[in-house]
Amino acid sequence: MTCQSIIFHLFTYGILLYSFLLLVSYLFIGFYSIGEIRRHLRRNSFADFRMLAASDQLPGISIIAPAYNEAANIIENVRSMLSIHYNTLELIIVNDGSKDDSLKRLIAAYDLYKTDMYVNEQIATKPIKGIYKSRNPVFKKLIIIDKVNGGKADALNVGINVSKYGYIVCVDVDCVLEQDALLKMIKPFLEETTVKVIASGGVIRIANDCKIENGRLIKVNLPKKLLPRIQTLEYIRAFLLGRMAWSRLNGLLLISGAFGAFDKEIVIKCGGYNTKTVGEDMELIVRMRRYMEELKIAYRVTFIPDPLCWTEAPANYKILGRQRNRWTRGTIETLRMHKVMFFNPKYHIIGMISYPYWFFFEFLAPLIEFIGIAGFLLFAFFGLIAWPVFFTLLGCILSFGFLYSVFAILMEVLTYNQYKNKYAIIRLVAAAFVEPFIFHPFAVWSALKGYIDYLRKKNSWGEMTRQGFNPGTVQAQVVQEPSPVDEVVELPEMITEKETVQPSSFFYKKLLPGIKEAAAYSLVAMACMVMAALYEFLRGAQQFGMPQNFLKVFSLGLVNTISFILNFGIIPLSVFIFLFVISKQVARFFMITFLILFIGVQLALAQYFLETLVPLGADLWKYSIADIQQTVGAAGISTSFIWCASGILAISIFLFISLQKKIILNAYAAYGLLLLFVISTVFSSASITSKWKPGQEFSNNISLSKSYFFYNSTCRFFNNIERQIINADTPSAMVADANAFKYIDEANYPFLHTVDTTSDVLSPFFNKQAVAPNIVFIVVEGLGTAFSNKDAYLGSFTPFLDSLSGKSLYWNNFLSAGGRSFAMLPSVFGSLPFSKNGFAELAEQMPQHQSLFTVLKENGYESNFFYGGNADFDRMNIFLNRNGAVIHDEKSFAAGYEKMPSANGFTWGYGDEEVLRKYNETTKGITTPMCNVVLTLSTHNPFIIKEEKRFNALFEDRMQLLGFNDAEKEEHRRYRDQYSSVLYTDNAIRQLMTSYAGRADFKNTIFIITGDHRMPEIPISSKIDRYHVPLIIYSPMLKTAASFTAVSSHLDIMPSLLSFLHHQYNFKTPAVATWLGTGLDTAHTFRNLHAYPLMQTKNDLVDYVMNDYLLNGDDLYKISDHMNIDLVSDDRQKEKLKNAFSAFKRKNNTLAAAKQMLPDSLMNR
Amino acid sequence: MYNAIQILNIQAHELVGIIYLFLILLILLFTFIFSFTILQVRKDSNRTNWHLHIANIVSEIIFRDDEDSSFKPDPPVMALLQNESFRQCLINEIINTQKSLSGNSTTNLKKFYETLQLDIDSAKKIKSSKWHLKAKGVNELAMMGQAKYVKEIFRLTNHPNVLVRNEAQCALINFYEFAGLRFLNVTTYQISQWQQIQLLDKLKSVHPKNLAPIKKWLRSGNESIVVFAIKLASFFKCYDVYDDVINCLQHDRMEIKLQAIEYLKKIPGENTSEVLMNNYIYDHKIHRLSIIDALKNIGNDQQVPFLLHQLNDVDDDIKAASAKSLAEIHPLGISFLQSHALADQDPWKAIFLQLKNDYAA
Repeated sequence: MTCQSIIFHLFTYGILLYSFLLLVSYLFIGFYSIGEIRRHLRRNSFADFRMLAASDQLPGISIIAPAYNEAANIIENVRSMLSIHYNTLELIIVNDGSKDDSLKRLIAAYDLYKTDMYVNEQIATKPIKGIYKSRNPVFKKLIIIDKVNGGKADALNVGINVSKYGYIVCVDVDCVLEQDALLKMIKPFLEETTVKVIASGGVIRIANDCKIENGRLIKVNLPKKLLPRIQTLEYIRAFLLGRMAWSRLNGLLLISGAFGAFDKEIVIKCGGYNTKTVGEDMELIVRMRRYMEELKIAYRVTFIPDPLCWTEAPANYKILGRQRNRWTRGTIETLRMHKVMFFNPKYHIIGMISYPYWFFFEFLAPLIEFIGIAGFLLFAFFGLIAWPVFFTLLGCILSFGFLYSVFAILMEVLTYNQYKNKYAIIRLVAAAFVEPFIFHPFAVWSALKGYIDYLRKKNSWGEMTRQGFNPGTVQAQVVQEPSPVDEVVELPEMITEKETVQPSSFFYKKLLPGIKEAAAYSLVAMACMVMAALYEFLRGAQQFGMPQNFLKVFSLGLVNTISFILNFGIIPLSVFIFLFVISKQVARFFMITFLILFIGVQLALAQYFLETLVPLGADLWKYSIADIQQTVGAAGISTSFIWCASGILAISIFLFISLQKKIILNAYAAYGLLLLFVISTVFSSASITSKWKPGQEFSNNISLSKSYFFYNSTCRFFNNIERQIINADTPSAMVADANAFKYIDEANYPFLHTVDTTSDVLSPFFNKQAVAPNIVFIVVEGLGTAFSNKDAYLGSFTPFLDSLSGKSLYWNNFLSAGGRSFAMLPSVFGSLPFSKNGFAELAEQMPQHQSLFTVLKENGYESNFFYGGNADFDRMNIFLNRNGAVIHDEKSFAAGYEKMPSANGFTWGYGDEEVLRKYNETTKGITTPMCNVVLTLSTHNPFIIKEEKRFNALFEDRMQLLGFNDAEKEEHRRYRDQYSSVLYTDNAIRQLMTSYAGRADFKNTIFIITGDHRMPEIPISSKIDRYHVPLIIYSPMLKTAASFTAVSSHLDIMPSLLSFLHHQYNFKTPAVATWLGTGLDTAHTFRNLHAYPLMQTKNDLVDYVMNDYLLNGDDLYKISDHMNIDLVSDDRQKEKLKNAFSAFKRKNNTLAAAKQMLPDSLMNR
Repeated sequence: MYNAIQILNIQAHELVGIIYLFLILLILLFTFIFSFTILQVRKDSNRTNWHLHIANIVSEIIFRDDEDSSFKPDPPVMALLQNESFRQCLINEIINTQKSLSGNSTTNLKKFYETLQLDIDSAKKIKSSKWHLKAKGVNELAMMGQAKYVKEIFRLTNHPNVLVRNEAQCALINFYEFAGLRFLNVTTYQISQWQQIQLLDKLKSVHPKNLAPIKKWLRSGNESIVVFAIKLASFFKCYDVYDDVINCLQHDRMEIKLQAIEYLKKIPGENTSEVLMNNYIYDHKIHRLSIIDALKNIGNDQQVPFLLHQLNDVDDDIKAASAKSLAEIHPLGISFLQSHALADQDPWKAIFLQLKNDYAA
């Protein structure tokens, strides 16, 4: 197992396990809370709190409400709290050094006077400046404390010191309490008889848009704004489900600072609120619980689900972000302070369940989520994601999240039903659906900022800069003992979420403009890419005619282009934003350069496609520089392309420089656009839309985003994705070999199997000769059944081959093993697997193997390979040399042979007539048995032939002969060069055969004619069309001609031929072999007994044929006669093919690593 | 991810099944919520109509002067009475009205309740196996003074469910006032502070003639009953149990000691201050504060040396409480504080200043 796979597995298992545990805990919380809510409701369904409110038997309660700069509403807020129904009550308002006139207003409104009041400072606090009481006996319960600013915790501690009653209720001053809130809160303290209740929490509800008059809640409304509405849902979920479940478990670690009741004695014994943390509410509860646990005193922390306290939720992201940031820091600080409890059985439930839950699912959750998303993006970028499984899991998680939220809504409706309006419920449910996409990512982001802020402060211990307590003064102090108190000195100004926050200069001056500009660039880039796609489409239409359903094709093309940008755009945009923060100029230079290159590459890829009708993928990386030069040179770069591409690039540069500045997006639009990028990346939009296909192969390809195809396959190529997926697939033991070979030693020689020596399908068709026959292979470049022989759906342009096949053994449902020439030699002459990028690509690393050449050599044959071009191409020379075939390529052509006309100064080499002439001349008179191979060349792009006019005329005649109507003729004329070259090659073969007939060895020769693959430059109609080639076996020795409808392939030629030679001529043939084919099928009815992998390009092994099915990627097609295919949905068959294909791939991959096919003993035998 | 799924032996189509399951549940939940909300609105609308009917009936009943119990509602209301929900709605409304009324009107309502045999509905509830229905039934019968069900209800005063038990105990007081507390003789469960407050609240306008049972309860093995008994003695100013309460000062449980001090503070004897000083536990702050505070009410100049000693205690709360009591019982009153040797030192200075202000106010 590689390091990469270990990391991958650890990551995926870790995330999966974490998610699973989180879901289980949510399920538990959801169900466990039901009982507690029901019990509470039933116990209080007919309790008459109103009657008891006036009882003098009730214990006294001190309400403590810290206030900082609350002048605007403090009079009403205090009045609201004074009106609460409770007999023995004191209300302590702690003015925490407000800078506004809160105190003045209070003094005036409540007729306050400053009094000397002794305060036993049981908890150390900042100094008290004054204590005020009212002269008006109506307000005798009111105490106002004016103190030096020290933060919320300090203010609460002052209130605790001043309070005289045994129970304290700490509230935010702007909270609206229900009239019976105190009675309900005190009840749990008084109900317990066996354990001590040390604290009780209350539900906080969102008051945004609720009708509040004179500090009293008059009407409950669902917030109109989305953000508070989502928080309403979040609070329902957290309070109604979460806290009730924890309460039932007696594992509550948090009582909201906005509303909580405490046993004062325990609070004081624990030292009061901790001023060292921003999460003072949580920290106090944890400390109190720890205290009780350590003293081994039975206790409870209870929770009231009744909606008793209403507060305003942050309505904008700025303030919400600060709140979540603070919550995160508070959680971290609290957990850190009490880390001794982590999985410590001494602390029972709190140590073993509550603390670990908070640690893993509250503290770590945002971090793990972030790592998960980052890892996901990375894996997605490198194509490591199994998308079907990913989407299934994503669907599971999302649907579970929705379900949990809707369940919380159900609980709300069934219990307190605060939002009775059905439309409100619908809006709440809608908020549940929106939340994971809008609110949750922001909450995670804010929490991450919380981590960063926490870490920053941690590192700033030592010399501290204090804000100071006088406005405008900043005091530098050297702290001898770094103390966490100083860590939070920045807090003294007890800013609440309701305040207006000064914008962060970094965010507003650097980040936001960067985001806006990135968004503008992305829009311009989209426009430019659409322009490039338009060019491709128009050029395609011009060259090859309007595709069928052109509107659909065109719109899918645009969709693919845009979805590709959305999918991958986040990477350059992130880099841009990062650079923008550092230097705007650098960021802009990067972006413009990147985008121009990007568009340039897109144009080049489009042009490649227009030339070859095959989108360029990672196979580019498997061609040598010489190969590329040869291919590009052959294709040529048209002047029109240069002009068009230059024009598009010039327009793009202009747009990037000028138009981008004119696009001024507001922040929300920019966020929205970036969010779209993120969502597209997460959901891999390009891979989704690339699956939407208009139908025909050409249409499919032209609508495909060439950039996506190229970058995606490149990433997969460089990351060995195929191998990883295969390794992850079904173990080989689970898959029976599709061809039922009997393997000898699969572990060491995965392809080595025994040979069925009895099977010989060719002998019945041949008369036996006294001497061994010569064998001549004519492999025609690009010859497809689409335009050759009787069933050619484009009309046959090979009149000679048509006539020849009528006198031959002819297979009309025959397949090449590769979609390009690279696969031909190993497949036809070795029936060999492909390894990673084609067998010949293994080059010097090619393992020892058998081939037709080597076997025939053992039987006294000579082998020759004739090719008009350079045999170095596709590393044919290495393969041939390893197999002992003599190469006759362009370098061996003597004077007198004429090269093909050049295109753009480049020519592939010698035309087919010349090659066949060379062949004839070279082999004439040789008496040694021969196996000769001719690979033609003229039907290769750029399709330039000698006597072009003549063959163009023949092309016209041929169309006439085929009875084409004008439209068909016009359509075919688009590919005149291609068809003319086919006619030319057909004629060249005719000439060869004619001259061969006069040779002495003619009657003893077997001619095997096939195509290396079907040429893609004439649009391909289906996934299998590119492999559909004819096979003609002609020989004067034939007893009879025959046509076979059964499916066979290049891989079957060698096994059948050797079997034939073994039986007819007693050839020595191997008893064990590595060939993939099982032999030609001579059935006259359509069937396929074989299982073949088919390799489309040097990097795309995506097709597998087995029985009547073709598996292409994840699509399953049913094959019928004439190799027609129809997309079918048959999971069982698909699974079967996938397993067989995976088994093959696994073996195939071991080849590249182990480089073993045959044991040395066999080779040396 | 793919690997993980495979190793966990989960197939993608099984996960898809889970999604379908979640989605089906989601749709079901949403449909239920939506239907429930619509039905609830309709139900509320029906209830509004019912309330109108009920309000008319109840008004008519309340304002009847005669004792005619043959009141029969209109035929439409009679038809509605076949509806169980309507009957419950009617019971709730009658009880709510009953709570805010007194005198003849309550008698009329009670008769009406019985005429319509709503008591049978309530009685059925106490036979339910569900504790909340049982408690509800007890509550209804108690509110409507249905003492005829006392036998069944009394059994419930020691019910394992706290709500049922509490309601049954309250019901007995509703029926028999102080005499209803006889359940204290049999109950084996602790009586919570909340329940004690409820019971005392129900007894607030009662003037019992025979407080003798309190003596017995003060000796109960159930500590919560002892606490409650002291509260009752204090509440009804029962001097007969003074000695028993004094004995409670020796009890192991602090809550009982504190409750006893509260009693002695309200109902002191001649030597109470001495007794309290003798029971002063130096290592328990709340107990000390409670005694010092009691001395403020019941002490005299004989306790001044004791309090002066406490004024020098290390605990500032003890100092403050002692100063407060001294200000009350010192022969010089508040002016004593000014002449005290530590009057210019903190924290005495602050303590004395506050007392001075309090007295001035």
